[in-house]
Amino acid sequence: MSSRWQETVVPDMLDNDIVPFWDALKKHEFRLNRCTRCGTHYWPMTLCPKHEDNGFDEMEWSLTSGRGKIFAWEVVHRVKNPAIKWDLPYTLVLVELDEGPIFPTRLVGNRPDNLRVGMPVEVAYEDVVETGMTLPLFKTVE
Amino acid sequence: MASSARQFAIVGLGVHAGRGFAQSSRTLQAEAARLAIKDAGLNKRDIDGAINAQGIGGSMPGGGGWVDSYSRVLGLPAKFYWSMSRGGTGALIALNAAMRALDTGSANYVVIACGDASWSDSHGKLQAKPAGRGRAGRGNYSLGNEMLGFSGAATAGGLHAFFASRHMHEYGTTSEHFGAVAVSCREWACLNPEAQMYGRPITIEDHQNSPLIVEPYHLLDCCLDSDAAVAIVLTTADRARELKHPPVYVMGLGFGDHARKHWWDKTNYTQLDVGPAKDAAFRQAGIGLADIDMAQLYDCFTAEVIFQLEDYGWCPKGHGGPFAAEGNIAPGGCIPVNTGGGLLSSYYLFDYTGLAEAVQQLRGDCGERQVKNAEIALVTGHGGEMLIPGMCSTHGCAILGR
Repeated sequence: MSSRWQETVVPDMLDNDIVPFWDALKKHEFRLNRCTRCGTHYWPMTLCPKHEDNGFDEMEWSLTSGRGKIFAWEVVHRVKNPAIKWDLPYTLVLVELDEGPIFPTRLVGNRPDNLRVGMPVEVAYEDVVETGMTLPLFKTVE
Repeated sequence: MASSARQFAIVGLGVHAGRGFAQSSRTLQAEAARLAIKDAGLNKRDIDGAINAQGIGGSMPGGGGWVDSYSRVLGLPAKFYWSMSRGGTGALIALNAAMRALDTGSANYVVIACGDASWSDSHGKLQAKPAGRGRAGRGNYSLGNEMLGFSGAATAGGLHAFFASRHMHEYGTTSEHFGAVAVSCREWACLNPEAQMYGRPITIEDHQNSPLIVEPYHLLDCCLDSDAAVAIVLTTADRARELKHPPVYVMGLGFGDHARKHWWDKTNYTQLDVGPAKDAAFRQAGIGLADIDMAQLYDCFTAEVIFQLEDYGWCPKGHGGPFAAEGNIAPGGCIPVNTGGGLLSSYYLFDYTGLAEAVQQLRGDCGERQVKNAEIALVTGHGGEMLIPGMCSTHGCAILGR
């Protein structure tokens, strides 16, 4: 609910291919693009590459677990953009979601001393009242 | 054009690089182009093709669209002026396009140029931002870009550090290994009076003590900020032999693009898409790895050098860190890498930094840092969309020879 996030994502940054993802976040739903033919999940919007003759009408934004494991991590110590300086240093992670795709996000909460690849994490929704957006931050699972 | 082997040659080189010029990217680029034409012993009226291949700008998402023409600034009578971009492999995709134009007779002498006023921009020396800087927005081609904004990964360091981190996890590579790349490049720069870091040697301890930027990366893992422009003149081999410098031939040129592997196979977070690029370029050139006298490897950050040492086969996968730490890429090592100091220690201009250095080496113009009897150089590029988690998917490989 903090104004510190208000400059990070604004609606006019989004193109129509990703709007359904961000709309779902407002309802605290973590949706991925799913192939209705084979069930494979993607993020962001993708035409499932496993088939030759499928169409975009066979892809849907499907409710998922919002859980995964750390695939790679880094700690940001310096940035130039004043809008994102307030939380330095902060931890960024690539999350390998349980449904398959890799999802980039910010890890919130205290940085675990034993931060490591493979650590389980889950989505932590951050509602930003000023913009009406909800951010899909992640946190470690106790 | 079945093969590019020795059909085309670089005959002119213009380098205008340093810090604090307070010139627009356009003016930097025009100056480099002017120098390249003069270096070739040609006149502006001879130039009938011009390519503006910027690292940022041109057609890149968020790149600000069209870029004003240096050919207009110089009054070149070019039959075409193209703007194209692929991040850090812009010079090599431009080579590809220029060779086709020469092959079909669309042009006889093509200038390829790039300019980037990033130092003056970041230090408030420009009245306006150079074209090509700004955020991706307006709902076009921004898919996934918003993740950069909210997560705070909107820097090249933030994007690339994940790959370094992953290599450390998979292979036990250490920060000191990355430091060995930085130290090696600096040793080369200290032999190059034109390098920004000439006269400023560093040690592994300096690397370790330099501030963390995006962990695992320290300051000394990151490329420089520069005001820089490079231009080359490319022509056909027969025309090249009539000009004043010994021709630097394009012997091979290939590309790889790992977008699909990156996003969906999750197999490539510790490598670049060297395989197809190398296969095509080496096949055209008819050479093997042992024939390479020097390598100008794209070094936006230190880990990318380690990846390429492995992916090209100078050492087994996962051994790039120890290989660099043993001094193999430094002056006196078994494979001279980034002999002018590279993006890390000479100046930053995408793949043009390495391309320019290769041309100078093959002409034998490199003084103290000259690689003896250098005949064949490898130049690589690394670029693409700055998205996350998949980014900079294109790898370019050029083989140049004299």
